[in-house]
Amino acid sequence: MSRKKPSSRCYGSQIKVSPVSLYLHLPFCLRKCAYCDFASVALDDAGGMPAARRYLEALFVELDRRAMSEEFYGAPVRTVYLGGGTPTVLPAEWIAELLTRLRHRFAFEPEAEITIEANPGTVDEEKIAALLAAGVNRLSIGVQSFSDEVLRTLDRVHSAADALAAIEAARTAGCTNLSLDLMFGIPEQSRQQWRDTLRQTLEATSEHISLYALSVEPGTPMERCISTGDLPAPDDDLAADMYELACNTLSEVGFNHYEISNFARPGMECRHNRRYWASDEYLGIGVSAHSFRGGIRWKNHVDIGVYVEGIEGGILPVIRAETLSVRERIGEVLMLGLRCAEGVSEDDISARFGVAPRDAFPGIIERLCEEGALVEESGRLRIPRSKWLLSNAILSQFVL
Amino acid sequence: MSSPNQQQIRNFCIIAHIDHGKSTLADRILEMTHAVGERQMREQVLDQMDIERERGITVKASAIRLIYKARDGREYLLNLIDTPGHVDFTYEVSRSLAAAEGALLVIDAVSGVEAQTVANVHLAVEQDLELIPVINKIDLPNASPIRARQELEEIIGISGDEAIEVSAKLGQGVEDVLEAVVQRIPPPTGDTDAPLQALIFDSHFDPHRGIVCYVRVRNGRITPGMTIQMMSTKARADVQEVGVFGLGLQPVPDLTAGSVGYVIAGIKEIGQAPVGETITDASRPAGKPLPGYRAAKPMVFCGIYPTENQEFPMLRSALEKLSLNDAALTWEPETSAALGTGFRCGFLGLLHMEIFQERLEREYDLDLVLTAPSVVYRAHTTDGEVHEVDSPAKLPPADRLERIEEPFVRATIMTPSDYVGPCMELCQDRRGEYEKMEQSHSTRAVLTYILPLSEIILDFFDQLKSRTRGYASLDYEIIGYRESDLAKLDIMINGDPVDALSVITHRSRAEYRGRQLVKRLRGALSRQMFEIRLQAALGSRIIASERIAPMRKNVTAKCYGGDITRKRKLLEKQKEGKKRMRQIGQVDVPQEAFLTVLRIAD
Repeated sequence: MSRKKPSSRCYGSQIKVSPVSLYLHLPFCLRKCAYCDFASVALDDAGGMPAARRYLEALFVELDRRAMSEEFYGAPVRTVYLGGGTPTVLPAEWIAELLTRLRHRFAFEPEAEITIEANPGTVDEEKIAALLAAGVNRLSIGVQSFSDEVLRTLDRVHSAADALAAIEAARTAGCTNLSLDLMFGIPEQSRQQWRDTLRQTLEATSEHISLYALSVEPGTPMERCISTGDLPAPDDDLAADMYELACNTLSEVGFNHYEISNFARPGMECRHNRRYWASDEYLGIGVSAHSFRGGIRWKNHVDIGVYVEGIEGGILPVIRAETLSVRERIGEVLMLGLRCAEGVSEDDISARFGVAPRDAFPGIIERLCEEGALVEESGRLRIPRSKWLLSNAILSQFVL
Repeated sequence: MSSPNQQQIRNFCIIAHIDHGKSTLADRILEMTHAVGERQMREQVLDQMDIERERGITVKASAIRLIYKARDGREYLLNLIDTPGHVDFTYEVSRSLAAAEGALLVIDAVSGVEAQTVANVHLAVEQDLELIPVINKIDLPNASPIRARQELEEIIGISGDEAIEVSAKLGQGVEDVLEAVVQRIPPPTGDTDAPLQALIFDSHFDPHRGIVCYVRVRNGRITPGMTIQMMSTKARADVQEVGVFGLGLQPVPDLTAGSVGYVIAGIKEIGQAPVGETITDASRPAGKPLPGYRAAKPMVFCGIYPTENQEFPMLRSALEKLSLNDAALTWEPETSAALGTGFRCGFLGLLHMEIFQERLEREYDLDLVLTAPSVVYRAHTTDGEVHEVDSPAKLPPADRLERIEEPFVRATIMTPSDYVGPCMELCQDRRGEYEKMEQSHSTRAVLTYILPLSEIILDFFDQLKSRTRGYASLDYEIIGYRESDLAKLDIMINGDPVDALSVITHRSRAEYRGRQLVKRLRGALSRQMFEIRLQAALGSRIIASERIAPMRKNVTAKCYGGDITRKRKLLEKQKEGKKRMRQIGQVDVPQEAFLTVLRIAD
């Protein structure tokens, strides 16, 4: 096969290729949760480990091809995120193999952040140690709740005890950058249950916490239960109370509330996710993964079978691509950047796109500042924390 | 075709209560006289509009000419004039009847005599028509022709022996009906040599030829080329074509006394040749017009607004086109702070309004918001003036009001005796004044009440039907204006009155209506960034209020690489949704809110 070598190979030291983040989607879970509408499947339903292996091989092929492509050849990798699904249902050796493959294809920056999502019940000390040895340096555990009752409503496969065990295992294995995912606003979840979960989360200790309000997605078993009346619909007012309680509790103990749903000990913010909110570029590999490079965003096919067969048939199974206009891109920079406590710098946007945000969205920033929905401070625009719960009304001003 | 011999002409109508099978009987008659080929035969040929066919009612009259070879061996020319089947169109019915010498009175063998049957009989008797009772649907298992005959005698006072039993569906007995038409209905009288008098009993608008008048010639002759004059409107026109009704328009050289046919005279405005008008010869006018003409007067008014403001010109042009066919419709531009620019339209009744709305939406593809229907009130102000008020917005301020009058009707309700109680209760609830009750042997009662028209045009008929499991029937006639203790009920959103939601209501019902409107509005609005106060007020007095707590959560929890496009689309949708709302003060009000609040029935 003759391939035109991209120029950066020859002049790598002279031409600076902008860094990327890598997202790898590993769609297998022990079983599917009641609220989940991600591209994920129960491993047994998908054909077990042989099917998972076949998928992994397809993933290797995709990343080989992307690594050699015009867009990504020679790009330094700043962060890696292994998401799913539950990546940790796969053997640690496979994850190690995947990371080795990545290192062979891309140039990792020395301090690259490498996160893996893990669910309680799929990891023990030994497995985590193996993952850390393979280069993983950040672990995100899907705790969701420390109430078994709430976990049952969510139809999670694990118990609160499993979650505590996983955290314990991570610490013992030597993990120093641990993030815990929690959910609130769940049908039948009480304030007390939420308070207890927050307390136990703090007792368990972590460097990072993500708090997600449950959103009931169409087509999920949970949505069906709510429509038939078997479950009450989430109460928005109660969810708002829970959110405020959590913000206060976590701030009091020194967590930095740096994005709508994310809290970190100072300096322990998730660098990978921050890149999304900064509209930086990323390459997504695997089923349903999104990539963004050169103002173009594309998405891989969501069906595992179609994805694998596509790759095996020699094509990249992209199902959708969109080229964003400058105005759309500025809108996205605002829509994403304003999710963060530090907001966005208008000068940075002007420098990046050659158009000032106030020209791209005439009158809107001024009006929002007047209404107190935006605060302008030393050249940066941000949404005050008190308005974060209503941020959609503000962010929707920046879509076309 | 030469002018037919008067002795061999029969002009007749079919009158019936809704659903008693008028159109099906007409269809069978058409088949039997071979006026319609088998292949042309659609169900209910005479009802031309889709809406009519769907609703199973006749809105506009229409006519057809048939040749029938009778048992006496002679051929007769029958003009069948179909009539509208709803109380809103009583005037049109009476004009159609005036064009005939006889009528088939169709009675359903299952449900028997109904309120409209009685009303139609009164109209026919007024016109001195020969009535042929026809008991239809005898094929149905629960048919009771004997009871129908009994009711004919008891309620209407026609001998039950005269009735002909038919099943229009199966064609059974239809020939007997045609024989009866020939034998019992007298041929038309009238002098072809006398000055022209022709009654317009209906019309339609043809975009190329103008108004096509459906006429019955009483006296004289009408031919193309002659100049005609309308005896009331004084409009003049030159006749271009006359003809008869086949399955389309068939031109003939003339129409003579006794004939039914059409006249095209290049008239462009329906107001110049309204139903009920008498046409005469401009050069040899008749001494007086045929009796009974009155202009159809709209009784029910409502505001019609386009959902999207930019559809206003489309709405205007649709109204212009539809009013060419509808002399009873009135409309004038109106501006609402809440709904933008639209039109205040007047209708004969609620059905007329609904059909009109459907035609606008269906034939012109318009999305509309209709305000609550209102009657025409008469407001007497302290300066001694009288104002006709067809919209709550036009009511003079309370301090200038001396008194308000509203139109009343005499309502006739026929119901099985078992349901007399619920019917009376409903009438009392609606400020009804009991007049009388008659009971027939066949366990049916006829109730007469005096009621405000405003109470009838809301959900009265639906309520009546639901309280009597569908058995009761209703008819009413306007009897004039009476003083009532009325007041304007304002609905306010965060202190701003919303003109489109205000209603005129009886003071005793104001609180109930206010609470109901505010509650419905609460259900129709979504939470917003700030608290919303909804209030109903009589003058400065708040009589009902609700609040909608501010929205506390409108946030996207997760937004990572794979979510960005999706979340952006979500925000786009939110923004788009907001654009489709009307802003009242700061409050976004979706179009559906107006529809929900203004919906007539609960």
